[in-house]
Amino acid sequence: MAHLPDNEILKIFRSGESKDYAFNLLMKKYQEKVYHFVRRMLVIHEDADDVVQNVFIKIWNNLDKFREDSQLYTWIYRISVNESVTFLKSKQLKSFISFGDYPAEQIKALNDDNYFSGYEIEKKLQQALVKLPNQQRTVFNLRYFDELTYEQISEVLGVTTGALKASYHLAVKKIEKNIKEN
Amino acid sequence: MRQPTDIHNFDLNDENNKVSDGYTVPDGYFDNLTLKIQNQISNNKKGKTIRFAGYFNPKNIVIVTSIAAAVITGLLLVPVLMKNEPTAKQELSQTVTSEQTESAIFDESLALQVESDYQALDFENEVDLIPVAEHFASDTTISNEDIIQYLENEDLDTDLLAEL
Repeated sequence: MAHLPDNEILKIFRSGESKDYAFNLLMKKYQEKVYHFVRRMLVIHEDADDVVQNVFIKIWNNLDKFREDSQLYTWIYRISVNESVTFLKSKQLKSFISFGDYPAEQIKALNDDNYFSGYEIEKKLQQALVKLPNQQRTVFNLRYFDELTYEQISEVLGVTTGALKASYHLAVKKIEKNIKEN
Repeated sequence: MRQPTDIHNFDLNDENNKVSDGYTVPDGYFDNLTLKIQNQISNNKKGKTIRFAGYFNPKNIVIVTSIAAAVITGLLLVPVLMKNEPTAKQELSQTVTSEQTESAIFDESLALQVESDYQALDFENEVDLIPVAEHFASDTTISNEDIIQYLENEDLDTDLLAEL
């Protein structure tokens, strides 16, 4: 199904009469992208499902205030990153308090996951990703899987392209080392 | 995306040899996701109205009123407490006028006077505690002759004079 351009969706949304319809179009257009980004950050499907719902509720609550200073999709990505990192931090904090190991919990969940059908290399890549710091993980996912340019990522995260390139380079080195060691 | 066969030759920078994330979703997940989100949004709309009404329940009113009363009482007590208990710094910083000094000396002397009055009262009490006979005995310098002479001069009670 062909999706309408973002500005057309926004025009329908702002006309006031078909807000629900416009939002439905927006969800259909972005839900898979948002879900897969969030899933790669959180690993577990149920966690991703909760966070994706929060993302779209935030979009609904704030779309009236969106002034098109940035692209709609970078704005949606920014909300997705914020919600995912907030969720991750709360999980990491809970795990730290209970002397747990959150990356290990995620790796275990990945091994037991019914909704993971990747090859061995894909599993190893995801296992290496959960060990990265949140920012490197975010940058790597946006660049490698979502194929955003550094300029687009810069708009999403509000970080300079130089810092993003350094972050991505470090992430790649760590992942490659981790895959080779395991 | 082509699946690499050799993990050890896997290169993340190779744009032509990318791998997918491997994650899948339950059947029909995205169709249900849209419905779930729409339901949540419509529930939130209803919830907002109920929540607004919920702010005005009696329990909340009592809590808010109690907190407000405590704060107002506290604010009213602060100046009173500050007035009754001046700090040492405040006491030192006060300038003493000559009138205040005079007044203080007067009060001091008055206090001493009052104190001596009380001491006098105490002395009298002590005196009262002395037995009456002894009290009189200590003051009997008047002889019978003096009494007779006094009675004669006063021309009183001849019977008593006869007895003496």
